[in-house]
Amino acid sequence: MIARVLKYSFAQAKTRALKGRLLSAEDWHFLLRCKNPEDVLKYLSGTDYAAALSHLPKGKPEAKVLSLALYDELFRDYAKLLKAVPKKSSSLLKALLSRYEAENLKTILRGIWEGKSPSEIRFYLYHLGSLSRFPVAGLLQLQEIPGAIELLKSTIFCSPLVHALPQFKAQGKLFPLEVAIDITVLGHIVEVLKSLGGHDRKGTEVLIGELIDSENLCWLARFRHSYGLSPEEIINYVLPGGKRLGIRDLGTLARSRDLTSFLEALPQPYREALMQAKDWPEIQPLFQRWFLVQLYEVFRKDPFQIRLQLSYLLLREIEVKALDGLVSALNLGEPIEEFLEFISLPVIGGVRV
Amino acid sequence: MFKPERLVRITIQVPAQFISVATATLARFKLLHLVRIGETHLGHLGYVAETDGDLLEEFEGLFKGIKVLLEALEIRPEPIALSELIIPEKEIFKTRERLGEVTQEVESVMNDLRITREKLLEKETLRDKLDFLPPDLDLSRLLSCQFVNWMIGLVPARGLEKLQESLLEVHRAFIHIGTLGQRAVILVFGLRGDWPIFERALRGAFFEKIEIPTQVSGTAAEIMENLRSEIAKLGEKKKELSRQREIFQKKFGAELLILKEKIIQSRNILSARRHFGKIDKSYLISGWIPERLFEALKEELTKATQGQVVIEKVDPEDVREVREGIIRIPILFNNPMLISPFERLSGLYGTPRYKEVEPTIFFALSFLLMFGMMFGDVGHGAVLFFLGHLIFRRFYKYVDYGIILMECGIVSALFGLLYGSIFGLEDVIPAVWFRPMDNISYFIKVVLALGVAMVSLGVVLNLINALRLREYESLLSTTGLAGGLFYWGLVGLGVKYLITGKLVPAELTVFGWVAAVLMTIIILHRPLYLLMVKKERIGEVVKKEGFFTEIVESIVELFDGIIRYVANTISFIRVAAFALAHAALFIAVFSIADLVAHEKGGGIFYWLVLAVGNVVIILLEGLVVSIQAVRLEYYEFFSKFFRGGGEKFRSFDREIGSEERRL
Repeated sequence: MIARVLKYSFAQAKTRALKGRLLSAEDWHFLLRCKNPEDVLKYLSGTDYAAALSHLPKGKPEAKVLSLALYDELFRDYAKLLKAVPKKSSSLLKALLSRYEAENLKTILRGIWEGKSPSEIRFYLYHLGSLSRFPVAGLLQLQEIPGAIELLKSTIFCSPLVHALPQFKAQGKLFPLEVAIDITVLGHIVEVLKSLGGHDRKGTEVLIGELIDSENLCWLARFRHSYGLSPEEIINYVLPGGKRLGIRDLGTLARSRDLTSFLEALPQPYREALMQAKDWPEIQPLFQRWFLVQLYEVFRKDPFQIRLQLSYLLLREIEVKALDGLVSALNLGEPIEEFLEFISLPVIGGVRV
Repeated sequence: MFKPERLVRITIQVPAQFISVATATLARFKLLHLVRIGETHLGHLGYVAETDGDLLEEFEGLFKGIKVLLEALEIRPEPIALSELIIPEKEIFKTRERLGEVTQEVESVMNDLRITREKLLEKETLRDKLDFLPPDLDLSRLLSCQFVNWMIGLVPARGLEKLQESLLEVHRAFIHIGTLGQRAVILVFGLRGDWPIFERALRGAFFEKIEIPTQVSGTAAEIMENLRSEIAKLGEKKKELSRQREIFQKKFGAELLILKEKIIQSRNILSARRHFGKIDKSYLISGWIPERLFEALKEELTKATQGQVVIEKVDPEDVREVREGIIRIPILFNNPMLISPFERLSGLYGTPRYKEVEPTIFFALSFLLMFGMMFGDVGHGAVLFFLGHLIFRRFYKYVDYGIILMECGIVSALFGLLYGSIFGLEDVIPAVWFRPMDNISYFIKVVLALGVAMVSLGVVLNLINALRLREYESLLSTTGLAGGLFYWGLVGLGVKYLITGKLVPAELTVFGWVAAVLMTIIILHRPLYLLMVKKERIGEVVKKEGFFTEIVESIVELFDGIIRYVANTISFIRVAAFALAHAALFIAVFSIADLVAHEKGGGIFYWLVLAVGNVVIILLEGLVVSIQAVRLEYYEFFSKFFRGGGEKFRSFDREIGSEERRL
């Protein structure tokens, strides 16, 4: 116990300090009343996001530029916490961060596939800087997918992509490669979790399990609702390692006839959390709202383990996604009420702790 | 050797019709550090850089072509010295024609070889995949199935459970017949009517189908037999084609390397023109060259341009921008062959300024001395020497490291003789000097003496640098003469005490007074400098803003400086420590070897442990000792005198190379 306290004392203080800088209910009150993206920017320049937004070009920024700048704040937190936590447990945060490497990789592959120039592709990449050891420059110079996969030899993505290559060639679309990347990166988090020591592993297992469940539920809903894939194909895209949803449960969910039978097949407490869903797209925000409560709960428990940093980073991520969503909604001129259905905010449902 | 090469700034004016020969002549001299005319004041006078972009592009194309050819023929790159004058405008015709001829002659064989290799790889991969099939599996029977479909292929092993789950509701037979890397080889059977479900599930599972040729008949063993026979035939063909490639290698190897060098030089020459300035029909070239080469260059250029060239030479001190500190004179090292490889290591710390002492020689000698002291063993020295020799002979790109390794090997072997150690065995040869493990306190005294010598050398070099750079104020500071005298006084007392075991009170009194005077000088060095050299009045000096802050800073610096002198000297004890660690590792290896010697077959294990142990010591200790030696150089020695901030001399070809990369 004493060793853990010594190892995590600085990290937990740092994490709590960072948590104190998350946007408050009051901030969200004003942000949700902004009429356009410029107002959001103006308000955020008085918050912790000021540093990240200060690099934006003057005038009205492009939506993508603004979105990437918001994520810079998240990556800055990653950098701070990676320095603060013990080296062994930092591997979990790095694994969590690698989801953004995966997003960048998908963007690059898409860019190569569509024949875009390196500068065009680079524009859409998350600014991971020294947090990532990805051979981005080398990848951007390539003009064909197999060559890019060859360059990824030293990463976790190489062999899954090699295995997905025949399907990519057979189907003539990027989908198999993108799914392989997603499965790999989330599977990697589960693998890293297994390598952690006693308390860190036990403490984090539940959160990571719920994160995997969340991803599986979202994928099931998205693949079915948006992509129209068959159950037998969808089952192969789910991830093992969830907290309450095993392969057998996911198989049953994938084969469910409609949303009602889908919801009935869910175990508790997920069933209760998602019961209000009236359509497939509502699955994700409803689950995220439930997950948000679990993340805040972590701050009431033993703080001397990596779970605390993990929770904070996921909270910050949800906040950035919500801001990104808000800016996009304002850019598209969508009514804010519609947008509220699809985001998870600390003010909604009185979740703020 | 102690100074960088003396350089002069040259400016060459040449008519446009002679620019090719002029550039070619400069390229042959190589030792020219080009200055971009556009970036000098001449750029404002209308001299604009210009080069033939199309020709450069054509050479780029040829370069890519010859690289492909050399790789296909597996010709190893070797350094080529060209003696003839390269004129790109003429060279392009010769090179293009010859390269075309060679390519035409070798093309069909090389293509054939490539295709054969691909086919061979394909067949071998198929063989590996089919190797899992049960030998008696009759594929003809499988292929004739009417109501059942089947497929054989690979899926990621992790996805097997999901695949089974996805096919839960259909009739299926699912046979896992082996594992290939991270993938499982599976054979799946299903009803024809259900087959679309199978296809969707298999698609989701990243299934890679193994194509069984439809015309095959017989068992899996028979198919494998056919495959093996095809592989053998392809192997034979590949062998024959490789033999032909070797003939081409011998026939064209040397010529292609020369052609490649010519292409590179032509490209360099054309790129170099980007640095030149052009106005009307006249080119202007500017740069730095060693003074000793100026007359030869002038003569060659005059000859090449039939006397239509104007060359001006300016001493660095007379260049206005140098005086004003706008540009720096580049540093061209001037060390003998055995010392020059160490420029890489000393250069990592920084590049000295033009007037500073060039420290490579001191670095090299002290590095080798410390390495030898820490890694003294005849056997290990010999191994290092042979490793270095191997690198020197085989890997021309790493010749410098080969030389350093050979030199380290020699000094290590010499110290091995002095310590009487050969592969850790200390009873084979007598110790000419002493055995480190038996004389630890003596060894510590020796390395402390080395520390004093190195720190003193650092102080002396600092004095020389201060005088050369006219930094007279620093002569009175902690790192200058005043600090040096204090240090040497302290060392004198220490030596006296070590030799006689006592100090006379009078000596301490004298040292105390001298130290007090020196410390006062150090504290007041800034005001003293202003009074004595700048001839300012005492009232002005005292009233200057920040006077007292400077005094306080000097006091802090003084104590910091004294601690540094002592710490720097004591730091050299690590030389003895690592020499002892080297010996201690031997003891550990011999102890393990003795332990295993009592086991069954112990004789073999004894020698095996010794061999492996020695390899580990050479690799591990070799690395650690090198790091420690470099560390001592940088932190204890260089920090005493090195100022840095100079600019490296970039020879004609290197400058152009980096320019190309930038573009």
